[in-house]
Amino acid sequence: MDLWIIGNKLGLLVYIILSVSILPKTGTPWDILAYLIYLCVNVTIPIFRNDARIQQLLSACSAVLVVYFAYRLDTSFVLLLPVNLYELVLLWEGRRRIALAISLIPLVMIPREELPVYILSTFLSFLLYTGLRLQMERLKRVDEERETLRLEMQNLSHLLNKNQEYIRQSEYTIKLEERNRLSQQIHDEVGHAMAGALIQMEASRTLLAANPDKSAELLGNAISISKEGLERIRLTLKDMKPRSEELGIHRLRLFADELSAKHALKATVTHEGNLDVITPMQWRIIHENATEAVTNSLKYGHASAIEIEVRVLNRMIRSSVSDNGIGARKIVKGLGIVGMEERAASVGGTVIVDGAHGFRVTTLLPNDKSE
Amino acid sequence: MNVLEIRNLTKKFGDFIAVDNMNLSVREGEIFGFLGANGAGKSTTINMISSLLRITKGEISLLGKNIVKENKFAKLNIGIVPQDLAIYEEMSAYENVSFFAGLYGLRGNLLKERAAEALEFVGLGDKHKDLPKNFSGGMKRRLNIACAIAHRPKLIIMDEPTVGIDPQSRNYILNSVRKLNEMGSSIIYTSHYMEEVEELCTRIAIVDHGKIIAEGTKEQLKSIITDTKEIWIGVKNEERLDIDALQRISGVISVQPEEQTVKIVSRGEVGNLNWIIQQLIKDGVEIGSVEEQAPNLETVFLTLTGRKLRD
Amino acid sequence: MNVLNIALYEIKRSLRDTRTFVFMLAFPLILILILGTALSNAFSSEVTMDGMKLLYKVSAQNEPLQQYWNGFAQAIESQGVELTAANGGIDGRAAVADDQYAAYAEIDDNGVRFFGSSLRTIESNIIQGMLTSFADRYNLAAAAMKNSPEAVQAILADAGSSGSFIQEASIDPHRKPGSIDYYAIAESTMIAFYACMSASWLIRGEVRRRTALRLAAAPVGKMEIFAGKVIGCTVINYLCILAVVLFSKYAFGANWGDHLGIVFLLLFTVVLLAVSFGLGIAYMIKGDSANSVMTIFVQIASMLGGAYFPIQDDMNNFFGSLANLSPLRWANDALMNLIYNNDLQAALPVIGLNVAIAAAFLAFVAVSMRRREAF
Repeated sequence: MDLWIIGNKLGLLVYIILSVSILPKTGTPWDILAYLIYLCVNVTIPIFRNDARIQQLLSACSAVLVVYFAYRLDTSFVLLLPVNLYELVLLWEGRRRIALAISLIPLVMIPREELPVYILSTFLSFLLYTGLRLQMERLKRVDEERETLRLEMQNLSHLLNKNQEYIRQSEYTIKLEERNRLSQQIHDEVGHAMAGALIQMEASRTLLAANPDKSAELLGNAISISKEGLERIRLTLKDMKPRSEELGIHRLRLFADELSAKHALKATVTHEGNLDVITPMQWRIIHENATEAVTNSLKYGHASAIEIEVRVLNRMIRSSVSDNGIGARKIVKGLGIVGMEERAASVGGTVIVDGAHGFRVTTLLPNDKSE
Repeated sequence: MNVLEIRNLTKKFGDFIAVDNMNLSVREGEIFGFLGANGAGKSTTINMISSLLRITKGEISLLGKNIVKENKFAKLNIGIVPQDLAIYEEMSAYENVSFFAGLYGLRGNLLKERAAEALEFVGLGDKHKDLPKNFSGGMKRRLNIACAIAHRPKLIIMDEPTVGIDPQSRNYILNSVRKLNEMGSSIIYTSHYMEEVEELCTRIAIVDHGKIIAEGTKEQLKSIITDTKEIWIGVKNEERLDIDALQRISGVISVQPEEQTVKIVSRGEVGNLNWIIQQLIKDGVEIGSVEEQAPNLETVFLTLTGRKLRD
Repeated sequence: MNVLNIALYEIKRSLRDTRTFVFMLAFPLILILILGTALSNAFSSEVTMDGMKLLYKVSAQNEPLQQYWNGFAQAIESQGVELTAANGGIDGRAAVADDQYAAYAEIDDNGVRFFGSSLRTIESNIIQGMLTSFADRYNLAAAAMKNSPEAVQAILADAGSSGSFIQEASIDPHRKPGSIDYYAIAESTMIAFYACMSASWLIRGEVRRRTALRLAAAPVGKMEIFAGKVIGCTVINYLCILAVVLFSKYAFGANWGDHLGIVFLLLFTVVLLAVSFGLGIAYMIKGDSANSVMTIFVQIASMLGGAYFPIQDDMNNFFGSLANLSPLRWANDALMNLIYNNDLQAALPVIGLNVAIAAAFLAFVAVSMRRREAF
């Protein structure tokens, strides 16, 4: 908006300079001083973009100056007045009609021969001002709309995240419940069976000398109860033990294999150190961050290979996802990176994103093996 | 008390986040090392501490006072040795120091005294009338330091003070840093030279992409990577090795004899090399070579950030 | 206190810089000397004015006119015009064309007919001016004769008194600048304007030298540093100008007029303008291109301002109006008027203008410096 008003002023000023100083060759140094002062004051206006009050003051100043110049030096200067008046109204956010009205006031004071030019320039300035005003209002409306939409989107995505978190949590609880149920089952059924077998065997021992036949029968019972119990243990355990690919590094491998299969790239997983110290919570973070990092790489990286590395150090666990793509000279933190950081921070870790040689996302988590 | 306390410090340049939610404290009497590759955010942090850059978010306090609210106090108590030489080549060494000290409010005799003292301190006492344009690189670096210490700041920030100088000047500077520290200034020291930081600093922070990824004494930092060290001993007659006796030495975790060498893995913090060698001598083992492999800060940095300190 | 310290340090530093000195002192002095002696012929004051030869022929029958002409002839003879009455045989016009006379005038009852020499324009112009005023006055007298004859006597008596025909200061041979005088003024203002070059380095130099970092880290306000440096730079440049002016006055004998105070004030405002202009440009244009922009601007402004050769006043073409944009031009015109016409009024608008522009630039720099981080 500034530019248009400056353009408007500049155009008029050039016209005045031409008509006062250059063409009739009657310009005095005072005229030049007046041009310069006008320029100074009006150039300052856009500098104070952040302070409307100073802008109003300067614009008013300029209006007064213009009138003074018109009165003292050359009436042409009055042509500059309407722009300043419109600028003031614009800054005050007053009504358009007021603007038109006040710009017509000088009409009564202007000599007849200047009237046509003044009316023409006022009219053109008014058109420009009105257009600007309309555009600005429209822009503001659009901005506001965009802002509400953005807020709405933020709320929604927040809600979505929450729901996903909830689902994940409930999955976890379901697993825990399942585990509880299984241990209960072992206790109830296998425990009872073992107790039964024990009683049979004790009885068998006491009867061993007196009644070997009965003893052998009891022992046979005990054996079959034990067998049944063992079988039940096996069955229960088979149900309870998570499938190996759901755990830790296997899950990462599976993920990498899927990547290689689905996309035209080579994904590898390497590891170093004792993986057993990584807690399930940390595995979850490592896995989620790896997924996020890979998503980033696929989206922006143009990579043909992705390497996932997990290293267990003495006091830290370092997992990194690096690709061989173009990377980025400057990393702009998006929601994805913030999410990774938040996850890592929840267990006291950090995330470094580097784009110098392809993307590399490093998650550093503390390794509290001593505790 | 902490000389410097940085809380949730963030600096953005447009979209780019140069310093990302940094937390840090420097205790009184420390030489605090700041380790990081170029563009890691070291200089940005330092510039915010010395009020050269505005803080986007978070706060810094010096001796318990917020440096934005009590800017003059903070500026008076900080001395900064910039990475690049910041001296007037056409003014004499003394004029340089006294001009900058004068900006810190020193006047008259006190100013003369302090300026002379600072020059004496960096070993330029006899050169105070000379123009820096005739100085060697090392002398310029020393003058660069003198300009920052004449007002006796509580905290001295040294940004790569030893870049591009001869070993003698470097030693001189390292010793001056220690002396300044002994005289009561806390020091923040950044350097590309790992050995300097390892030798000089009492506590070190590793910075990458505007974040502090590890912080502590050098032992603490090394123990992030591993607790153990490997000692490789070249032996001529390995049949005389008493493996059980070696394993009983405190700190030793495992002993693996190989052809002509024996690899001993030991806890890192235990100084048991003497005991091991004594044992070997007692057993009549002829020792060819001894090599100790322990992680240094360079490996710590490389392992954690995946990149070299000097690219 | 800090402002003063910084200013003093700045001055001391500039004094150490011998190159600046050679440039700011020797350069203008040598230019004055070389241009002043080499181009001395280009200046009209060097043309010998004693050769104002006028050939005339009086064929008027009118008694008062003849009487009046004789009075006039006596008067202008005392001003150094050599009058020769044309004998019947001489062709006046041919004599002028042959460069024997500067002009030829025929006086008859119908008026004065004047033929000026195209070779000696200055002389013929002066004589023409005198004759014009003679004719005007005679017409007045002739008109008065019809209405109130008693007034004629007074008019004619007045005509006889010397000097009243040539009041114009511009044709006073002693009040026209010689080439040394001219170049002393032109080079002084030019070198004053060169201050903008060193000013453009004021802040950029600190940044380049990295000392800006130290200054910003010191417990001194940005405005103090800024003020100190501007004052220092202005003072040192101003001192150079003073030296140039005094040296040219006493060593070269250049004419600096009777109002040295105002001259110095005017030159001070030029330095101030240059310093603030240099700072402003350095702030507006990032990087080293500021330097080239400045150099080009200074050279063009110097040329248009007449630092290398005088620009004619009557140039009404594009070049002439362009020349009016050069701050050196304003300063030079004002100085000329001040020195040769004692026109104190001419200096005031220029001083005002310089100060106003300087203030605008300084305000701009101050504002943009406040907004900037560091420097």
